Amino acid sequence: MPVASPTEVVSSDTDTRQGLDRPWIVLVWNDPINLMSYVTLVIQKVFGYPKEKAESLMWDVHTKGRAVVSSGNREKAELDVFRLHEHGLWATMQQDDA
Amino acid sequence: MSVGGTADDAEYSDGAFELDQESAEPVDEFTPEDTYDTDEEDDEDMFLRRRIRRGSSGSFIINLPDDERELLHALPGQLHEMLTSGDPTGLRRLFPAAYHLDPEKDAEFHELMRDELVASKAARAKILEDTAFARSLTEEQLLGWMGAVNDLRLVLGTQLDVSEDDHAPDPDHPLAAHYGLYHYLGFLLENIVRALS
Repeated sequence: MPVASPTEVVSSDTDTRQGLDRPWIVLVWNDPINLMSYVTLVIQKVFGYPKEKAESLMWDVHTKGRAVVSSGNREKAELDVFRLHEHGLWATMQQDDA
Repeated sequence: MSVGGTADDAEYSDGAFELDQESAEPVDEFTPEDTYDTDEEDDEDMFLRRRIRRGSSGSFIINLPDDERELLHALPGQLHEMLTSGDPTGLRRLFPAAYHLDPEKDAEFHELMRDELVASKAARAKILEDTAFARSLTEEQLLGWMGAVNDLRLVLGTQLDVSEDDHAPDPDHPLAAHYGLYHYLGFLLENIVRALS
C-alpha cells in the first residue's frame, strides 16, 4: 500500500484539517469526440486495468456522463490526471465527498 | 463518446485542409477520389478494410495509400505550430481543467504541468511526421501515431463543435472539408486501436 509522503503538498488556506485526510478521486467525463474503443484502451494502458474493467468504466462514462477511474492521495491523482490529459481524455480530480 | 468511423464515412470533400485557419499555409490539395478503391468500398467486411495490423515479431504493418501518408506527414507540423504558438482557440480540449472545482489549484496545476504536456504531444506529432511513410512501425511508434491522431481529432472536433449524435454539415458549409478529415482520422484511429488491442 502506498504511504503518503511526509512532504505532502502544502495545503492552501481553504483546506480544512478534515479536508486534508479525504482521498482524491479522478473522474473521466463523457465527451462527444473521443472514440469508445480509444477510451477503453487508454484506461487499460494508464491504469493497467483488465479489458473488462476498462470497458465497464468506459460504459459508465458514456451512459452516466462520468466515472471514477482511480483514487488516492493528491500527488497520485495529479499524476493520473496528467497521464489521462496526455491521452486527450477529459479528466478532473476532486476530494471524495464520502 | 462516439463509435469509430467506417471506411464509408472516411471521405473528403474537395479542398485543402488547414488546422489553423488564420496562419497556416494550406497543405497540398487532398482529393478523395484516389483514396479507396471501389471494390473495397462495396465490401461489408470491416476486416478487409484493415489498414493497420499486427505483424510478426511485435511490429505493425501499415497499409495506407500514399496520399493518406502525405496528409499524415503534413498535419503534425500544423499541430506543432498551434501547440507552440500558445494559441488557445481550438486547443482547449487538449488542456482541460484538472481541478474543475478549484480554479486556483487548477492554475497551479497547469503552470507546473503544461510544458510537459505540450512536450509530450509535440513528441508524438513528430513521430507521426517522421514515420508517415513507413511500411512497418514499432509498438512505441504506433502509440505515437495514436496520440497524435487523437490530438488532431480533438482540435478538429472542437473547431467543428462536434456533438454526440454528429451528422455531416451541409456540403456548402465552410468547414465541410474539415468534417471529412475528422471522420477519416476517426476511421484511422479505430484501425490503430484495434491493432493495439
